[in-house]
Amino acid sequence: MESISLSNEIKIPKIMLGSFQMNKESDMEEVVEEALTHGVYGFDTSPSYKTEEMLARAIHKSLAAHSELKRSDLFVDSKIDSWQMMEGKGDIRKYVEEMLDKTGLEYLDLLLIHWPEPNFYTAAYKCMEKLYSEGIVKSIGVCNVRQRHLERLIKDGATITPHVVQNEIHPFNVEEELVNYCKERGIVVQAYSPLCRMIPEIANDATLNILARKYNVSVAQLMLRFHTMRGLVPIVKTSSKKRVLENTDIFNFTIEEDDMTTISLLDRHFKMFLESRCCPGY
Amino acid sequence: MEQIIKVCVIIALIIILVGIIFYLANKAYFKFLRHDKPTSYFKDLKWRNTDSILVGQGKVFKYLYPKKYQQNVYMCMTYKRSLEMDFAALKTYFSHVKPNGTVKIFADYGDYRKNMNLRTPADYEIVHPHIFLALNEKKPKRRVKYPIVFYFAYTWGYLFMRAFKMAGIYKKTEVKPSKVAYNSDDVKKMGELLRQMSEFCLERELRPFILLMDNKDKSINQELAEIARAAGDVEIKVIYNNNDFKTACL
Repeated sequence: MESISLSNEIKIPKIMLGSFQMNKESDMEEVVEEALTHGVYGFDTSPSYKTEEMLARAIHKSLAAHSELKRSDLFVDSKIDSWQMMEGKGDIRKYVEEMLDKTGLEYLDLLLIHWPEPNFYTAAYKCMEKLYSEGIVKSIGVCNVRQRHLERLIKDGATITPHVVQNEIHPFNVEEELVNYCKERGIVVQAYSPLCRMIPEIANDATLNILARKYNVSVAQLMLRFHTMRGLVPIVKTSSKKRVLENTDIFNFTIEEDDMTTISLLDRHFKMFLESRCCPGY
Repeated sequence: MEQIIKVCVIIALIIILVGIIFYLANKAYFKFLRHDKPTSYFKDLKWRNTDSILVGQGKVFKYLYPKKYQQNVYMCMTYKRSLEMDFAALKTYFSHVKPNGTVKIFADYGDYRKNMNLRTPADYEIVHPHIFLALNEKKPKRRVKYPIVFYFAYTWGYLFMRAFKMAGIYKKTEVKPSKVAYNSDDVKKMGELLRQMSEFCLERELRPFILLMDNKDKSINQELAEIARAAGDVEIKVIYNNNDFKTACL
């Protein structure tokens, strides 16, 4: 599968698989195996998902079965959670080292701050900069941020512009301003919940259904293509082997410009994950 | 002997009855609390992009029946709460408001002084635990689990207030101005909190609207308004009567 270059020349796959709410090890193994078979090499995890070790085991198992693939062909990202930032008072090194020890992944392709916890956000980011310069992580970034959080990093003396920003983005929350802001600064944007968890309002949306019929694809495929055509990296989660192929087989059609605008107009600032409920004082 | 047995049975029955009342009150407390603030916002997708959010202290709550005036309001006011915890509630719930929505902060100087540093079981339940971590405080689990035992007066007060609100009863009489005397330090501290809350809103592209309860000593509200206005574009209004409440909630 094709990839996008980050500002530090590291390659990130155009689509990645998420692991939030993946509870069964057998599902994880099947999904990872199916993903590698179909050329999907990007995986996203986090300590709060409790899937880091499960995902790593599935990756090791699949790599053993695919002798043509190496660890360096894959792109694995993980995150630093608010409780880790609070407990370590911004010094998050030990959590990254512990995670790498437990998973045997050697390094992380991308380390992200999960939520910009107000008191230790900059301190944690500066610690990540050190991990980056030591090569323990190949790139760094932040999740769930607005422009003001990125500007705060610069103001507080961060020296490396985040390589990646990961936010909740779907047709009901297109984040036009933030995406443009990031593009101007060479920051790649990952979109989590790219399908808005297929809530009925999305699945039954007339516009999306009409356009899906027009391109002869499913609503999910239409939305994922919408993201990739905007230059975003959608992180799609599925625990079904069948869906892996459906969700990643999206590069054989192109959405017309007018239709891209039509989808963008569905924006209603609707978020599944309300920032202040997840990160007070956000 | 028979008499003694009778008395014992009556005492036992009273104890059982009181136990049942306590048990039900404890249950009802949590039921109302959860009804107020659905803990699983993730499943309840209704409260998104509301026009405004209301935060504020106890006294104001008595007069307020927001559902009567406006539907699309995220209500964060509760029976008895310190202004400090109002700020904590604001930090936890502001994302429910639409961009450029209004944050209505009801504040009363008398309540501020009375409830200073107060922590209620509702605070521990509905304010994000990370706020308490940042304040270097831990949730007193057992005390919060049985509020009827450990916060006896508070729990009954809360339950009655909830019941009145559910029945659509609210205080319709004129708002009585507070008679609490001026204390320079406290006014400054309260004003500073209001300023910080306003700054917090403005930074997040929300419109702060401070509603101060009338006070006998007019200089108190004037000074509070002056300090809060230092945050920037803050709308401030003094509540003199029920009509003011009505218009403020529209």
